Amino acid sequence: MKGRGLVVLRKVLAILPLVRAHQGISVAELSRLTGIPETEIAGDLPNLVNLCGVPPYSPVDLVDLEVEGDRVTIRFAEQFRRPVRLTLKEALALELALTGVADEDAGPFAVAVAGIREKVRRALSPRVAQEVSQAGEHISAVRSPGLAGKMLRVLKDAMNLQVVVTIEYFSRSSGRISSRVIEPYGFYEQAGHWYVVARAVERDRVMTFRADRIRSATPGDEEYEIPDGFEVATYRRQGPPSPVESGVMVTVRFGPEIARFARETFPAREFVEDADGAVTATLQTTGTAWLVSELLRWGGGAVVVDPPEIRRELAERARAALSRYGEETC
Amino acid sequence: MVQSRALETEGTVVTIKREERILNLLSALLAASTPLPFAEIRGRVSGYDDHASREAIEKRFDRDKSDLRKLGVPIEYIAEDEYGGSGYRVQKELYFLDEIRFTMEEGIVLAALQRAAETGAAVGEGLRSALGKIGVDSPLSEPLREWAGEQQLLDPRLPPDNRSEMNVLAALAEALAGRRPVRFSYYTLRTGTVSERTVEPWGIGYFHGNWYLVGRDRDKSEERVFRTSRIGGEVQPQAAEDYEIPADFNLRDCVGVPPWRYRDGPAETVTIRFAPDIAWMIEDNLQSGQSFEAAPDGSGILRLEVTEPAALIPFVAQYGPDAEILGPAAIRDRIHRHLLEVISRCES
Repeated sequence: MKGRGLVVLRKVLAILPLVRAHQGISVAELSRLTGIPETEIAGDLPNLVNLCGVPPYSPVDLVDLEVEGDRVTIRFAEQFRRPVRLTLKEALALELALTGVADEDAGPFAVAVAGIREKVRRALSPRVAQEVSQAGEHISAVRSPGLAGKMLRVLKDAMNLQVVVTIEYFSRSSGRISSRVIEPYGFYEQAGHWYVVARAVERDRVMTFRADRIRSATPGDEEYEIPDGFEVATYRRQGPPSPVESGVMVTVRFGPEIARFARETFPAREFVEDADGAVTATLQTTGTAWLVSELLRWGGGAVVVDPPEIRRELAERARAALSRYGEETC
Repeated sequence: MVQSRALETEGTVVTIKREERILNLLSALLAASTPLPFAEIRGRVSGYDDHASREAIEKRFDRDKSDLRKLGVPIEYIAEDEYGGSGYRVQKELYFLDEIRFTMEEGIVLAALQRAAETGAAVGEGLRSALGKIGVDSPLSEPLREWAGEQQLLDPRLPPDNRSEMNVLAALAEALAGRRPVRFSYYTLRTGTVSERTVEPWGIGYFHGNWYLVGRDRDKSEERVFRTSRIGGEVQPQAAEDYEIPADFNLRDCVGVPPWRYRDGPAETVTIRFAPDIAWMIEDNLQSGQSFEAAPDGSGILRLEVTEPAALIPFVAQYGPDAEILGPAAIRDRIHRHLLEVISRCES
């Protein structure tokens, strides 16, 4: 059978046990969980499955999937009471996804991920289990163990209890360590680094802190609440309610020989390719110290087109570094 | 009301849909307590009860069996069971997923993966159906969402920003499990060109937000590392043929290697001093082959082996005056030149 037919069958076999386990589930939720469009759940799907059953196909032998209003129920589907075990493809996809979330001793959810992995592996058929474990030996995340994992666990425990945490944090924008009291709201990973989204109490602002720049974390007694409707994913997409007027628009040009590399690694959203193969990157930022630090990496390859203040700051920092090598330049 | 499947009216046969027929076959097999002989399927199971010839129905049955197997349904033929019966059977212990109970925290991770899978239409379909299956016994995410922490906790991105990459990864993992070489087109950053590669997968690694395939490139007859985001289009598995993954292969030797160790060859030891504000971070992230010596004032000296000094310069330069290469002199000269270039670019 070609793809489509199998897709339909896969959907049916996924959806029937779900409805059976959660009688009265809403069409929307079912659609969200299975990826099957709501119109299909309310239309084609019952039309198909309600014709299926076991001989002699009397009414009680036929599946009875009913959509009433926005609620879905099922009767007479004893044979579809459980989902089919995971196929190799599904098991591997899950293995990869879990590896991306946390592996070994890193990440705030390492324990949960290990638990899922263990439980799922036990539920695989022997053949799939063997293949997954064979492949699994060769699939892994490479992370530096470091303090980050430890800090994240402290922060997550504090968040579960909703108590504030005092952290010693290295701020890349000031280049210094300072102590702050934060209320953790959530976590995300980006480019291999874990970040905690938290309200900084003194500043009364929601900010992100990179876990491996937290030197120490000490939970306190004071409780806090995460605002209703706060979502890490949304925060991450939109960033902090940024004071746009105070942000600086920065333009940096990279020569043709490093243009591709810049596109892949320089933290700007927008790149414009010039006729000679060079690229111009633009980004907006409130702090500049981190950008100067980033630009120092690129040496003569990157040119700050605008604004001149960043150029001055960069030159100053480079001179300060140069002084370590026994040279003072004016 | 008994529904009639194959309506024969005035010589025309209205056949039932294939999906429906396969579901009926599966239903009959799952409902049977003893092996089901073909004779009982033909003529009884809806979709096999029309007037087609025995051969035609047998062919139909063979095709349907193969489709069911593709869905993961373990169908077997029993020549003789303990009661002397023979026929087809689906072993329920092998078919039905055991009950899996997740803890709240595991549920949160799964809900987060679910959400990540929802946002990308093309994000591995395998992941989505896997989550649907293992989630069958868990409290639904609808109520979970209302639970205080769920929305706030975790926002994984799978994989970073590239929705088709998950499918590439799934295909690579499958090839790795079955020890099948793969063919794909690959974009080489250094040359800016796309070429076709045939690779024997040895391992898949994740490092700093990127996924990598390590394997033997057949055309180059060499071990290579590929960044999966640079694989374009489909990954084509080649004919199954076992290849050996070297016994001493270690993913960590290939993935997550710092750029100053990319090149093989003689290494030299470089020492770098870090200021107190950052020294602890360096100490905290030591990699194998590096050593760190802390001073009482909180500063510290890092010693590391370098085969490609040019690649070390950006790493040190980013710290400005907070990091200083102490030696060897040739590498001190390099960073010196690097910094002078920065200054001259700022002033020109």
